[in-house]
Amino acid sequence: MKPAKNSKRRFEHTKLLVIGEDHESRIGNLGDIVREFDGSEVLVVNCSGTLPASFHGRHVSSGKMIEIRLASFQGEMHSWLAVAFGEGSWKAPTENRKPPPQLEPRQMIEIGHDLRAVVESVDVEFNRLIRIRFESESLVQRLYQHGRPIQYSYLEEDLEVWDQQTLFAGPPISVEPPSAGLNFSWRQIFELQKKGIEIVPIRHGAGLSSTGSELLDQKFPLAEWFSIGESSAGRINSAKKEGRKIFALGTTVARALESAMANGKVVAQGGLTTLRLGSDYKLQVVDGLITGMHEPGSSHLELLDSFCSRERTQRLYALADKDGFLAHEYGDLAFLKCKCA
Amino acid sequence: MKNLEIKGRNIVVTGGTSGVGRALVGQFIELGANVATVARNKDGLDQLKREHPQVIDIQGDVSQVRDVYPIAGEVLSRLGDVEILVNSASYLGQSPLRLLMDTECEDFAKVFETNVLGPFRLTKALIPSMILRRSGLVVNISSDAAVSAYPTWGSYSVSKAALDHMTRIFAEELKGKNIHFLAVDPGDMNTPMHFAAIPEANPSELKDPKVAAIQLIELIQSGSFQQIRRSL
Repeated sequence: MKPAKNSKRRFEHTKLLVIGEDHESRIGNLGDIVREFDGSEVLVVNCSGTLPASFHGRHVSSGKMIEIRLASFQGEMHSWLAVAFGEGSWKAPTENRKPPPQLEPRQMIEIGHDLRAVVESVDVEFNRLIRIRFESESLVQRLYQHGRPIQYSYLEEDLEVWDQQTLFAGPPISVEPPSAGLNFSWRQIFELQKKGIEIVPIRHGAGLSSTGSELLDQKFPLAEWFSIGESSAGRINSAKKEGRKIFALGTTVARALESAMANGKVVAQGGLTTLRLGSDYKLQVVDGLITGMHEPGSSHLELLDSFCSRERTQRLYALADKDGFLAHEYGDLAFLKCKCA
Repeated sequence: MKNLEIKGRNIVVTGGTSGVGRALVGQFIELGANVATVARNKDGLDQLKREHPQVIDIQGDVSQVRDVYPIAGEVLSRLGDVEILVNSASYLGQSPLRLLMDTECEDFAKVFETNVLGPFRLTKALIPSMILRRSGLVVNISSDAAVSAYPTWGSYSVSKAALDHMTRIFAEELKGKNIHFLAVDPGDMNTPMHFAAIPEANPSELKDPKVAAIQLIELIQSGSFQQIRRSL
């Protein structure tokens, strides 16, 4: 499938592949999505903002240049999982990037005179996967000042911070946009509300999607932070009790909701999740998913296995590809109203 | 939002180092609110922080498009979801004031960047959580110059009229969602901006910004938001 090569939003003209409860598929536009709801459903959305999360700096021990891409928020703005790359830019495919210098705990990465990161620990298997701690006064300002949006070589232009924000963007705890929401407009959200659909917010720090290393990518998604408030948990539990369907806008929402399930209820909480959704996971909260089109083999596709068999997903991807669907964060969408039994 | 309690609310005030913005920060803090303020002036922010150590001080320029997401990101990280946003940061334009015909296009644009685009962008960035929670208030600080055509107040006047109308349109489009909008003329106040506009003004005839802040907070507490444009 061809990637969407720029960040221009197509809103209601975004293509939408719908897979119904009967597993039959149809193709339409996002502008018609309201017809896919009967008015009793809950649509849960991720209200995280996206931080410009790529930082170029100097690895002080070796003197070499290094890029740090934040990979996952760990609950406070100083502390992140991150993946290191050697010198280079997003314009080179990640798989062709130079490796970073050897990393050890307590080493320093100097990003600017007012922003440094200390390597706190290094993954035993992958030296590039590290936990860092930022050291700076006015940290959030410095992160915006020195960070650039994480982006990949299929894009043609530099992204700006606003290119990565969805309608619902709140605290900047995602490192890549929770992209299923990028093409929604408030007009559509208000139309959904008018029809009776409840829009319920949660937060989930969307992580890094790809490193260029197939082996390292297999560890994804990493532990990611999420939070569900009392009010949102209550609204979701009431809907479940009344037999109303819960749809997730984006895979991060699905992961958060399933992680928060205990004794048949969504429990309000904030914390890290390591839950992996896949073919062997039986969904307990989520009845459907609106999601983008992503690379085969990605952890995203693995998550779709809990909604639709891999064979069917591949057939649907082929159908969408034939219809000119575009892939990746600025691409087209699928609405899976089904789930695997 | 009847009898709205200020205590414990998360409130953002732009332009909190001067004039009515500064007075609002002090009054909101006194009433127990959690307050973040945004201003360009680092020295002014440091001084405010010394007076009110609990204030969340954010250096930024609302007129600059590149500053808006960093400002919003910092507000949302350090303060949390915003319940009340007061767009108070204003720019008068070149002083001494000039006839509209003598106003440079660049200065006219700069006034609009601060007084209209700044509140527009910041409102867009901060109200999503209000919409999803179905509760919130946005107050835009306006002026009698938005209504009366005073010679030489041109760019400021036009920008405040635009701000008033933007406030009405936001209110109309979000009607029924329990998000309230006010455009408030605080009256002629004893502020550096007023003296920049009218150097010969008599301070004894001008309102203390603290009085305007108290009046505005009383209006907010009353929960009476049906009339969008108000004069204090």
